[in-house]
Amino acid sequence: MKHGIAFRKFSRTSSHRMLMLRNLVTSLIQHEQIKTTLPKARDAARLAEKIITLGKKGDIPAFRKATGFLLDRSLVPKVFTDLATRYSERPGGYTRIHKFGNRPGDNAPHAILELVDNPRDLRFAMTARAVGWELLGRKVEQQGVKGVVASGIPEVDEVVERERERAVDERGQLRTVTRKNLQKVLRYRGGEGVAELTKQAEDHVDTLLARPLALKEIIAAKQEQKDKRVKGATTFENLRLTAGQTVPGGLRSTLHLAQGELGKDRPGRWYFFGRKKLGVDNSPLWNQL
Amino acid sequence: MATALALHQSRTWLSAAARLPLSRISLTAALVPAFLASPKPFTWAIPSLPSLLELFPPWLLAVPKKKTSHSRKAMRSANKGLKDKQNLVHCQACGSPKLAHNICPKCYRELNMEWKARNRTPEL
Repeated sequence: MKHGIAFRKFSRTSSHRMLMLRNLVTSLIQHEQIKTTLPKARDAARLAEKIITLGKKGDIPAFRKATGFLLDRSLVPKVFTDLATRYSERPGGYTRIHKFGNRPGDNAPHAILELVDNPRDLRFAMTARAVGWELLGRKVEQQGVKGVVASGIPEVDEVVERERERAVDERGQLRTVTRKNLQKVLRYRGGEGVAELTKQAEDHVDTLLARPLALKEIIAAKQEQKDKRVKGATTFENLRLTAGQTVPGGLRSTLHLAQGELGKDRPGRWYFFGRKKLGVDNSPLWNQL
Repeated sequence: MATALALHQSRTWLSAAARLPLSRISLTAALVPAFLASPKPFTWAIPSLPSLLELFPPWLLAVPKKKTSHSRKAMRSANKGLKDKQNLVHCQACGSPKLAHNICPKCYRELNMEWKARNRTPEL
């Protein structure tokens, strides 16, 4: 029985296990974001947080303990200076684990273990992109794609500031989950955090708009040669969507899209002339480019 | 059954004794009291698997009667197929399908490539 025992064995001897975990923690402190299996990430996260706690303490015995644990002596000053200042306000929880599917070789559950607030903070980047996507979706619904391309998305930083103060369950410009994530990633970041998030959100919006436009130019030459009867159908090709993928402002769920031909609520007769690709979101929103 | 076993025992005693090590026979002799000790020590040989199988008549062993038909075999494996994944959602950043509670591999790839490109060509 293993009731209440919080340690994993990893099919290794105790010395091997400890060395493996020390290696993981050292790599995490060096690169600030590592990819490993989920159980290893969980155990390594626990040890890494204890090392960072030693860094925050800052005295000589803590330094000696950290030096004894980490396998690279040149990383110990980083723990006691950079990481200690970064997490000076934060009470614990210095690491974050993102699940990342399964490894192809042995189907092991993979995970990305990262230090919170690092330069490549995944959650920060994903929240910024989600903010960009949502604002773009709303604008496209109001103005149409051509209007958005002309005007762009103004005042993203103001939206971020407003949503930061707003209560989570209020009705605002962002989804509840996105707002919650926004508040969490900006909590210990301050002013430059808002600027960074705004920049990443705007870059993402530009990327989302650029793709169909670029493809449209490539396909424009080919469109002249196509049959005039099925002219309406060729616009779907502009987006080059993969199965299940949706566009900003699209409303159908992934499962609904994946059902494709077998799914319900088919639109009118024009569907028979449309390009039948399973799972593609043929929303009329993005066809007027 | 016991009588059959005893008969079998007497019949194959010599072969059983041949299988047993000599030390085994002498030990049992030492345990038995002197007034009960027989000149020829008698030990129960544990019947090995081949000798046990000799007890069963051939028609008593389990065996498939007929080759399982294609139809029956297919019916048995009806629920062994791959199950569809239900935990699919849209990535809130790029709209592509992804596993629920996992990060979007497309977004992660883009971020990774961006980061590597930035490191390869240091900004002036």
